Amino acid sequence: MDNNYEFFEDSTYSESDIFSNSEFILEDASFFVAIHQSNHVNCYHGKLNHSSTSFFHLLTENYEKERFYVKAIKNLLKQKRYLNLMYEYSHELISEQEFNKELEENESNYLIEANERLDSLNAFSSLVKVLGNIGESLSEEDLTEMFSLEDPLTFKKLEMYHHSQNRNIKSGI
Amino acid sequence: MKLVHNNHCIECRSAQIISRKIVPGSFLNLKSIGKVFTYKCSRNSEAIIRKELEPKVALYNKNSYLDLDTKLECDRLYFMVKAKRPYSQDLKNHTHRHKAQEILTDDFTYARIDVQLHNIPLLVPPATITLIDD
Repeated sequence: MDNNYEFFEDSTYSESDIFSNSEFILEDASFFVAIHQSNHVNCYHGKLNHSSTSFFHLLTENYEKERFYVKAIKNLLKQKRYLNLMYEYSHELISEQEFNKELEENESNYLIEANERLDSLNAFSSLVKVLGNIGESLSEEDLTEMFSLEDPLTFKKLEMYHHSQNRNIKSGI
Repeated sequence: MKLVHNNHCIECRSAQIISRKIVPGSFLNLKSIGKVFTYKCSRNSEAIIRKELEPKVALYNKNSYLDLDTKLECDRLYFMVKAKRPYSQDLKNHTHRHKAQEILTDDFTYARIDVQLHNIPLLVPPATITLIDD
């Protein structure tokens, strides 16, 4: 379907549905959206124009930002569980055997996977905005623990470059 | 050899870590090393290589120092150990006035100076970390 307006029909999408999709713009400069309903999927495909391109970029950015917020919450919960377990063990509330058993049997509750590669410009710029919203100075370890960054040093360098570019744009350099 | 500047790192098979305060950080799965337990040390921290890697090749940071007895001396230290379970700290007399916590690791250990001692001038240019991407 070529008509972009079809996409905005109230009866065919809900906000939570739409943000469950990550890729909206295809390589051939068209858009594709799949909306999961209770028992079926509505698919929309059409040509992009100037305004719809901005709209889909915003959707993609929001999707990425939500992904980072969810990842940070999940990782912080894992760290909290791990530190609780360490506290119980170091204060002898649980035995070494119980500690080891818990860590082995429920490893996924505690283990933070550092597997975020930030391989797209959109992912990078979304994370910069998320960090701007958090408004705290985070160390490299914080970035790995919260956002699973595989190489937080690269991110730090890119972030500095990004901010210096923004400063240059604002100051007209 | 003693290293005292920010971002100086060691990698080894066994390290002696001494600090006034050692606290556990997190349980991480890193692509280049595997599952590690991380720790953060603050207030007069040291890390000394007690056993070298075999083979003597850095696994995490290309710029890590690997020689036996190489010592990091700093204010805040970050380290991680590839082990089956986390290490617990022993309390020891570090100086005649202060007690310190100590961990002797017996698995792959990576330690990095997070914040150097305040009375030491910064290194120019600063030491860099280049992670090994396999």
